[in-house]
Amino acid sequence: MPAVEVERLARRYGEREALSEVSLSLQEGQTLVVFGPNGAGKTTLLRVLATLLRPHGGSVRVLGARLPDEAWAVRGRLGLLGHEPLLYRELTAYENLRYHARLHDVGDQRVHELLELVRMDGRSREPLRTLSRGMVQRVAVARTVLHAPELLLLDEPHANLDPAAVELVAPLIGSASGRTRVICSHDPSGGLAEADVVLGLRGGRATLLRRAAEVDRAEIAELYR
Amino acid sequence: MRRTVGALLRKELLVELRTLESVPGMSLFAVTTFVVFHFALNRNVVEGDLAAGILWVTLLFAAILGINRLFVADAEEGGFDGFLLAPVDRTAMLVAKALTLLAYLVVLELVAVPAFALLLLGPSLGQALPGLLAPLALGDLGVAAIGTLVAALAVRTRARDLLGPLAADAGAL
Repeated sequence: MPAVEVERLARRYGEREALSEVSLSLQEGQTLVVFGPNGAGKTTLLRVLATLLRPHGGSVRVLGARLPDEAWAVRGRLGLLGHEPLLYRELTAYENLRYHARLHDVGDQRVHELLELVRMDGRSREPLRTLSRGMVQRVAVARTVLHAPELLLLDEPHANLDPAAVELVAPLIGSASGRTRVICSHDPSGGLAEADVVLGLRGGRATLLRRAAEVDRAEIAELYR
Repeated sequence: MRRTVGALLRKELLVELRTLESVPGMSLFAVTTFVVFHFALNRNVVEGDLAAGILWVTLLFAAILGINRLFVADAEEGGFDGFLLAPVDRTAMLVAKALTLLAYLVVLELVAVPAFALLLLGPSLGQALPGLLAPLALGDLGVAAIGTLVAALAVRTRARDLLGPLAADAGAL
């Protein structure tokens, strides 16, 4: 059974169609990279898969659960890393992670382990508002994988990260994590290197859906013209 | 459910302790209002329905300041999404927020009621307190429940600063 199966997905914001007739299938352990210009519907697609937005048409199955009816069955099994870190600015990295750990029934040991892995253990007692964007993103990565999700939904996951930090988080959210991943990217080279399957979105419609090995950079660049 | 409510409540109180955005504002509003009543009525002592009215209206308006801010951090910092992604009972958030508001109201009254006694109440606070405790406790429970519901409904609207107080007033009536 595919980890993600979408057929003719539609999602509107008022009168505007953010996604229309989008279909895709992703096997367990594979990585889907979604390319497309701003406003193409990438973030909307991630939020539908994350159960945060209801589909208005078509069918969506995530980890075997039909959305939105069986959304309860998939929450806690996926990790979302979006534009917002989903962390409280006034709380410290440790307090934020501990809060999310309680919600996901994860022990404190895992919180400390992740703070070390993203090298934030030295600054874990400082409020997030005092940290740089890159540091906050590292904490957000830790938050995303805190509960060992089966499916990772990553919206430009390397935003604000320096090259060293990108290497640091690779074992957690990179291909080495072994998890099924859906990644939104604007980086044709990096994205193609990570992808098993490529989806190109433009104006909410899928204009490209193929195995990554069959896609070249020029086709990705065409999406942005 | 208890674990989730505990985690949420702890988070709420930590955020308030760090920002001091709600309780100090609520308390300052209440004390200032009593000062205004003290001079506007030109009386040192109010009694009966007038005293009860001044106390309740002031506490309710002060509570609205807290109600308006109850879900703001969650709406602005992605707290809702973080919570919705967790495999927990959604009711826990409503319960935790109501308990948070209840805690705010108790602290507010610890400041406001002595100020009310000092500025407007005839008998000493010690004499009036036994009669005040039960109505205040019941009022707090009602305001916390209705206020949380109203705040949750209003937080996603553009006119939340207007809608929240109006709905809270209507609920209190």
